[in-house]
Amino acid sequence: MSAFQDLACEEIIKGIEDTGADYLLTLPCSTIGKVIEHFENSDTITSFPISREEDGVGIASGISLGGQFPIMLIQDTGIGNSILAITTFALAYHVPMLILVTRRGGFGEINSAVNLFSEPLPEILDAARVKTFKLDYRVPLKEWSTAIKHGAKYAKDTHRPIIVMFNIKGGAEQ
Amino acid sequence: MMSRFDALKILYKYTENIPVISSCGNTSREWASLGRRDNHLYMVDTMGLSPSVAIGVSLTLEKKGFKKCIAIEGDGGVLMNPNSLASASYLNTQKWMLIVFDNECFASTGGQCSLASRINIAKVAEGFNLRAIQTDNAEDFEKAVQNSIEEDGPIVIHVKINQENQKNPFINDDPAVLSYKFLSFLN
Ligand SMILES: Cc1ncc(C[n+]2csc(CCOP(=O)(O)OP(=O)(O)O)c2C)c(N)n1
Ligand SMILES: [Mg+2]
Repeated sequence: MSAFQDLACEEIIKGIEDTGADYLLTLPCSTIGKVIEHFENSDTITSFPISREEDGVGIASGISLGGQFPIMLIQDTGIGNSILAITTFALAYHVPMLILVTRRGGFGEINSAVNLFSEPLPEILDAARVKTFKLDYRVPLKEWSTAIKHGAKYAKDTHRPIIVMFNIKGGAEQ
Repeated sequence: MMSRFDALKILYKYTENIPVISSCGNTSREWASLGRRDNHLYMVDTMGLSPSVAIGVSLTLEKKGFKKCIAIEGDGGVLMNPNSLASASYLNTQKWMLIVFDNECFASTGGQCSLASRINIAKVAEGFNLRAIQTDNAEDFEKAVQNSIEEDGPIVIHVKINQENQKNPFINDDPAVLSYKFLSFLN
């Protein structure tokens, strides 16, 4: 793992801890294994794996309606598996949650298909009015944990799902 | 065989103080027609998601007084999101209860044939290591509901029903209001 990825993972861990969230729902991306492992052993946040992101949005919504705060950590293709639940349930029913999304596609990507979803994803989310904040090499790493913490607060204060997306491969804008 | 409405009337009797999340289409409409309550969350879209939402709610109920959180879903909805069965099993959510109304069709969209005529949903649930009860009549259904509410552990009640749909008005309330009532009831 490159130094940038290692440092990014540490910042993401710090950011998640700073939110004070109760639950972390995860479906791994190869780049954030370290984050998932960290929270598997956490005493403060209950973390568990999900089998499909749409189910995850439903579970996270239930947690939120029950008065606790959930974060989902998924890769960006998982938005493709859950956009209906994000819009017609979490957004429509004003259910706060933070969705942390790792970017695929772009420089450094060797998968020959995933770019076809990952590249247009920011436009898809904009068109669907799902508020998304993007972190990449242009935002100093030490700001990432702050952005994650603010993302969680913004979700609660504005009563909706908020996405914070990060490109931890480094490299140019996607 | 019971209709969906017959079964809902039975469920209504036993759930005055239990959170109930109902699936989109005619199920929520028939359920609301029995009398709206703040412990009800009516889903107006997102087919198949009610069991997932109920898992999340039931996780937060561990320290609250409610006996269960019940999801009502159709055969079409459950086969659209069988992942919820995997999650309920994996998380072993003690207060999660799923009622599947299986009419072997997509009744809400006009009764088109679904896949459930060749798939036993109770066995699917058992394949996910969930406890499942199969019923096809009012008496057994009533007993299953009464017993399951009192017992700990995730449970699926698979009910074969006929294909009848009641004519009821659409629920077109602002979903934010629907969720606010439910959230206020829970918290
Ligand atoms: C993703 C998606 N596809 C299709 C529909 C249209 N639709 C609404 S209700 C429904 C039928 C649901 O069938 P089932 O879960 O078996 O419930 P039933 O109406 O039979 O009680 C369908 C197909 C939808 N709402 N969402
Ligand atoms: Mg059906």
